[in-house]
Amino acid sequence: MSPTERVRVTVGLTPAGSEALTKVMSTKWFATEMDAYKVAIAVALRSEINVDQPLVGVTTKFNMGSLDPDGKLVALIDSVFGARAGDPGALAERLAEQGLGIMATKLLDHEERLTDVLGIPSDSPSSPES
Amino acid sequence: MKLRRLTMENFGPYVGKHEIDLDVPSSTPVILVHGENGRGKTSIYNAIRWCLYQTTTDRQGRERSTHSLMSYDALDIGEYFMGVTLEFEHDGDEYQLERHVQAARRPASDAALTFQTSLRQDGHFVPGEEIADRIANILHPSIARFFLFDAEMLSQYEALVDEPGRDTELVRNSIERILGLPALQLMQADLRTLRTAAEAKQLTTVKATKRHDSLVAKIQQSQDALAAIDGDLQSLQDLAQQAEAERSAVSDELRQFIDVQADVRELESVEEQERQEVEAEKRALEQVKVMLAAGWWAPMVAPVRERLAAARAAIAAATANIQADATDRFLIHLLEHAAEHDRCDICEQAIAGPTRGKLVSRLEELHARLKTANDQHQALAGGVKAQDALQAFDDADLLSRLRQGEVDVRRSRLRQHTLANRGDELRRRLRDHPKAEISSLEHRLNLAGERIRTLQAKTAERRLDRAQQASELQGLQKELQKLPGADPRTSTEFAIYSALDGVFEEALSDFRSQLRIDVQDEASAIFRELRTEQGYAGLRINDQFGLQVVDLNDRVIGEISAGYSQIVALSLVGALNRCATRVGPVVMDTPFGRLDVGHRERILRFIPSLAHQVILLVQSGELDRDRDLRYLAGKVGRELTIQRVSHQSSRIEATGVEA
Repeated sequence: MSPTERVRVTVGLTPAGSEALTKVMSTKWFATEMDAYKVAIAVALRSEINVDQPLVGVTTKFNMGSLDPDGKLVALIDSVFGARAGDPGALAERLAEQGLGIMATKLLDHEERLTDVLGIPSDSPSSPES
Repeated sequence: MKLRRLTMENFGPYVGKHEIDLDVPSSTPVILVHGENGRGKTSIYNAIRWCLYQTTTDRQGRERSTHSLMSYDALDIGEYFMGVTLEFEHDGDEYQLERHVQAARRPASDAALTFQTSLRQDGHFVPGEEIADRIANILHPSIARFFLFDAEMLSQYEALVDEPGRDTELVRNSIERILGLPALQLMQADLRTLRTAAEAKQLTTVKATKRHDSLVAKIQQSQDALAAIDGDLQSLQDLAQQAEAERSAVSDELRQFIDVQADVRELESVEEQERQEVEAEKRALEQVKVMLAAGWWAPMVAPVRERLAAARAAIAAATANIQADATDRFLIHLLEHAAEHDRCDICEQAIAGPTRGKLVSRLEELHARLKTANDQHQALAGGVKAQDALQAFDDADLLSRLRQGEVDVRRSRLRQHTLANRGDELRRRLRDHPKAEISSLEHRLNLAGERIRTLQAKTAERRLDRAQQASELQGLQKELQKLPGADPRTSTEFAIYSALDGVFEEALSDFRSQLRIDVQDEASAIFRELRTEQGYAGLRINDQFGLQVVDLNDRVIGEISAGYSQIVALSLVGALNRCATRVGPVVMDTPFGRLDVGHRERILRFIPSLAHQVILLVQSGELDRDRDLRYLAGKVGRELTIQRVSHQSSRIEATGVEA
């Protein structure tokens, strides 16, 4: 994190991200938007996408303290990005924006299974289609 | 009763066997037995009494022991046996009564004696237990005093002249027995028994009638209850038939919708299943939501595990390198020390020449490796840090649960979809049919079925009631059949017996009075025949058969002599014999002892008419054969004399008329 960058205490989404969040919530897999938001961060982390570009037009959605009360979110980001993490809040915001987009596309547009979207191997013999 | 023969053996003064023939014709009824005082006249009297009743009394009226009757002479010679046989006739039957006693040694009491009695009637033995009753029936002990007359025991006859006292009841009973009253009393008793039986029967009938009425009422109630139950059953049956008809009608109506009925039921089932699946989906989805809220990092589990593996590998490599570095440092220390002193501290050999060159080369090599040691420590720290951070996200079970949760949700949604499709299909098929009407009909059908089942249960219940009621009724009817019928004869019978009892009681009282009057008249007639005092007009007999002498003015003479008491007693004995239903012999022991010559003559003249058999046991002081026998002229059937054998033994000899 550069000395000029300020540590983020809130995170949000761009309109596109918000739209993606709405779509994801429509799948009814998530109890709250915050849950979807955090899952989207994990999806994005897993996708190893480029999050170097800062977001424009972000609307605050959550307080970082509420989003990550136990610090696990920051810890995970740090474990992936290490010294590159910089401001974990900012990084989380960009990850969520990207992750929600992925999820919305896969869940709704591609009608992929949740576990597929989450990257959980579908090796279960109890699959309904099987 | 008429005596035939008396046989005595070792009885009183009669040692050995002694027979007295007593059989005399009625025309000559008198048997005279002469004997002086102490010879054995009373022993003959006692022998007859003892043989008849196994008892006799002394002159004071006390019962004598049997062993005291045994001959002393016989006992002295060791003959501990005594026997008396009395042969007699009664009511055309011949009897032989034998009574014996035997002792093992000279008896000091009756306890030492063995008694044996036998009675033969026309040659046939009478059972031992019946002997006493049979004898009593012939000559009851209570009336014996009037036949076995002992003038020396006058006191018992004088009692008859006394005012009614303690013994009057006994006397009266005895006299009434002679007169045959007990037979009538027995008849009355029998009559009363019959009346009591009739009364009991009547009571039973009355009770039975009451029970009958009660049973009839109960039967009526039971029949009413049964009829009510039958009515209920009929109603239930009617209602069941109505319900059955309803069900049948509805079934017929439904039959036209039979094809769609199944669809209706399936649609209802499908809709229900849909509702259930929605709920199932909600539950499964909720679980997934909970899992995602807590395990939002699930997508990172796989990368985290890879990173963890890398971190662990880095830690392992760094650790290995650090250990190698430590070993190198130790070697450097040893090699530098050896190089400095040209001597090996381990093997203590000198280092020189080419060896030293190798050592220097080795030291350089080791120092070169040490240059990367810091990097190894940094790598170890980095690895440990990464491992610590990533371990919190290593949860393979979360993935498994999430996967199962999604499967459950998707499966439920798939089922819902399938059900929805089926529902749509069914709804399409039912679109043109009156589902509401079918449902209504089905509802009515169910109601009818339910009603039928209820009615069947009630019918079964009432049938049980009916069976119970019918059983109860049957029991009552059986009981009624067992009851004796209301027989009007029972009350008539009781009335007749009651009336007869009353009549009999009155007749008995009259008969008793009449007998008393008859006895009184006869006794008075005899008394007048026997008396010498003309002032004594006659006898009066009261209700208790108490005797009183009355004068010419019918006044009771208060005080009479002992001789007149004897005459009064003889008058009564004569009167009783004349009035008695049962005639018997009269045995008179010392009958004239208290009588003066005038009375003796009169009595001697009277005696042949006293009974059909009269045994007079007399001593010379009271009867002089030459002087007095003429008064009995032609009436003596047999005359015997007791002869002295020793001071305590006698024998009997026929001395006069033989019958």
